[in-house]
Amino acid sequence: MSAKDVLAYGLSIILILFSVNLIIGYQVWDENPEMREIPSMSLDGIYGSISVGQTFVSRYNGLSRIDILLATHARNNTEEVMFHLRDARARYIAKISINATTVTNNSYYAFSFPQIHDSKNRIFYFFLESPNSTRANAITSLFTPYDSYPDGEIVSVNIEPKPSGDLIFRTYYHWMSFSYVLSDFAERILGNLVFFFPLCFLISALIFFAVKLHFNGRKIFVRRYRNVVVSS
Amino acid sequence: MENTNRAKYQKIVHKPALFLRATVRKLVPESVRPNISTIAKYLCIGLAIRFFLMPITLLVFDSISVYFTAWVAEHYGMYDFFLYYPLAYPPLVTYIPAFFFRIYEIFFPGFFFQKHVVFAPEGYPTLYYNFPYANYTAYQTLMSDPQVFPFLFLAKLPSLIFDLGIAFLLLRIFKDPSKSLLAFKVWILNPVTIFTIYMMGEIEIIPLFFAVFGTYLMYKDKPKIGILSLGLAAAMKPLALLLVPLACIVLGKNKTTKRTIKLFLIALIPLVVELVVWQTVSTLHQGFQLIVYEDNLLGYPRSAQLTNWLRFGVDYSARVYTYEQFIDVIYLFPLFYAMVLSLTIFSKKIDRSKLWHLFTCIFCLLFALNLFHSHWFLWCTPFMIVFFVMADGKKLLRLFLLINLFYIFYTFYTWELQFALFMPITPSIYQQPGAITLLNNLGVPGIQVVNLARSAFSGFLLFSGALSLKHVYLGNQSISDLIRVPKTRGGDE
Repeated sequence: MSAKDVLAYGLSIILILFSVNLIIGYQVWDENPEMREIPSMSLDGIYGSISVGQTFVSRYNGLSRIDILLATHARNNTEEVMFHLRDARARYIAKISINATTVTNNSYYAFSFPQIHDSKNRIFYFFLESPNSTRANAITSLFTPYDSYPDGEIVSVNIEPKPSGDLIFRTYYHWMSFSYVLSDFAERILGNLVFFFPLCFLISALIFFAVKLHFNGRKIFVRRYRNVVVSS
Repeated sequence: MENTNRAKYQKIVHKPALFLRATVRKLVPESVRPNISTIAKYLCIGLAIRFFLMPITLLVFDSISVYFTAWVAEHYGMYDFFLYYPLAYPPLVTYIPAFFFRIYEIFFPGFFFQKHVVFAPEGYPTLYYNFPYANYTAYQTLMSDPQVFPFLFLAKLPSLIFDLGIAFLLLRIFKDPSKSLLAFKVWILNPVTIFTIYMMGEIEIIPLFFAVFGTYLMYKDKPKIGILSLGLAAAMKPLALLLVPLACIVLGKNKTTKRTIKLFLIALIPLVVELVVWQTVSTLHQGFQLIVYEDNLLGYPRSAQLTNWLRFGVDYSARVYTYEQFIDVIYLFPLFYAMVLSLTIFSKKIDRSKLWHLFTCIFCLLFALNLFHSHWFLWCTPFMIVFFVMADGKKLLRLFLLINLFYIFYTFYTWELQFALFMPITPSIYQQPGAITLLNNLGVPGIQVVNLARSAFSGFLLFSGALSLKHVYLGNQSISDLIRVPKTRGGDE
C-alpha cells in the first residue's frame, strides 16, 4: 500500500463521514448540554389549575419540535395533557393534546408542530396543563433548580412555593443549512484578514511545493545529493 | 537591472531556501537522503493539512481548559493555580505551552485570555463560573472572539514541533530506507495524529514525544538517558508509567538485578521531583483535596489524591465478576499486563530491539480492554507504526488503517467530537446533533452500532497485541514451528 493510498483513504473517510452527517442530519438538536450534568427535581404534578412552562429563545429559523423531560411518578396516568406554544406577545402558535398513558417515566416526550420559518432570535413560551387530572392521576415535569439556561426561565401557575430554574427540554429545528455555516465563516474570515491572508499564502505555498516536488523533486534534490556524496 | 533583480532573488528566495534545505538535511539521516524529495513532498502535504486545521477546530471542553491553565501558569506563577483547576494533566506538562505563551506575549501582550479573564469571588482568575466544567454559553462567547483563529494557531504550534520531532525520529529507527520512508509517510498523514493534535487541540503529543524519544534512545543502546526520557514522559502523563517496568526489565536482562533497580530509580527521578515540588506547596495540596472533594460528590470515598489515577487505571478496565454476591472482580487489563510482565521477566529471547513490539502490545491491550478518552489513543500510534513497519513492511499497515477506521467510530460516543469541533468557524454549531443522534434519526440504533464497531476495534487491537507478542517471543518463527517443538523433544527423549 503506497502513501498515496493512505492519503486517499484518510481523506475519503473524512469526506464520507461529513457527507453522511450532512445528508441525514435534518434537524438541529438544541439541548443546553450543561443541563445533562445538573441534578434534576420533579414538580408535584400537573393537574387541575396548575400549569408549568418555560420561556426560551429560538436560536435558528425553522423551530419544529420541543422535547420535554416528563415523569409519571411510576404509575399509569390516564388523563389528557395539553401542550401550548406561544410567542412573546402571547399569540397562539401551536396546541397539542396527548394522553398521559403515552408518557414514559423520566423520558423526553416529543411535541412536534409545523415549522416556524422566522423563529430565529424570537422569544417563545411553552406550557403544559391538564385540567382533568387529579393529584393521584397526573404526570409531572422535571426541572433544574439552577439557572442552567440563561435565555429563559421556568414559569408556573398555582404552584407553591414557586419553583425557580429551568425545565429540562430540547428544541429542534429544520436543518441549519450548510450555506449558513459557510456565510458565517466567510464573515469571520473577512473580519480577520490580517491572519487569514498570510495563512492562505502559506498553505498555498506548501501545496505548490508539494506539487513541484512531485514532478521535479529529483531535479531539485538529487543534484545536491550527488555533490554531497562527491565531497564526502 | 538584471543583476539587481538577481541579487534580490538571491536574498529573498534563494538564501532562505538553501538554509531551509540545509536544516532539513541535518534532520534527515544519511541513509534516506536520496529520498529527500519524497520526504519534503510529504512534509509539505502534512504541514498544509495541519496549518489548515489548526485555527478552525478545537475540542473546547478539554483544550481551552489546558490552554487557560497554561496562560494562568505563565501569568500568575507556578504554585497557586492548581488549587482551582483540577486538571487531568500533571502540572509539569502545562509549563511547555506556558513557555511558548511567554514568547507570544512579547509580540501580542495579553494574548487572547487577558480580555476574557474574570476573577471569582475567592480571588482566583477564571473564564467563567464552575471552571473547567462544561458551560457552552461561555465557550460560545470565547469562540465568537475574532482573535480566536490566531490564538488557536499559536496555541497548537508547540504541538507541531513535537509532532515533527516524532516524524523525524521515525526516519532514524530503521536500517532499510524504504521502511524509514514508509513510517514517516504514515505518521505524517495518519488521521489519529491529525485528529487528536490539531482538531481536538490536545497536548498529548508532548509527553508522547519524550516516550518515543526515550524508546529510541534505549533501542540505540543508550539506556540511562532513554529511561530518563521515559520517566519524563511519565511525569507529564502517567500513562507512560505502564512502560517503565517493562523497559527496566528488558534493559536489565542478562545483567544484575542491581542494574534493573538502578534504571527504575532513574526513571522515577522526574516523577519524584515533580511530586516533591508540587506536593510540598500547601496550596497545591489543597488543589488535590479539591479533586478528592469532587470524588466525594461522585460517590467515591474520601481517599488519597491518587483516586483519580486509580479510577482511570482500574475502573476504566473491562472486568469479570467471579460471583455476583461477593465483591470479587478481575480487571482484564491488569490481568494481561501481569502476564506480559511475567513473560518479559522469564523470557530469554527478549532484548532492547523488541521494545517497540512490547510497548505496542501494552497499548493494544490497554485500548482494547479499557474505556479511554479519545485522544489517549495517540499513544498507541507511533509504537504501532514502528512495529508494523518493522515486522512486515507494508502488509500490516492495512491492519493499522482498519484500526484507525474503527477508532473513528469510537469517537462517535461523544457528540463533542463531531460538529462541535468546528465551533471556531460557527460558535453555535455545537448544537448540531452528534453521530448517535443522527443514526437514531435514521432509525438505526446508534449506540448499538457504535458498540459493535467498538467491539471490532478491540478485536483488531487484541490481534495486533497478540501479533506483537509473537514477534517478541518467537521472532520470525511461525506458530506451526512452535507446535512442532514438543514433538521433536519427545522423540529425542
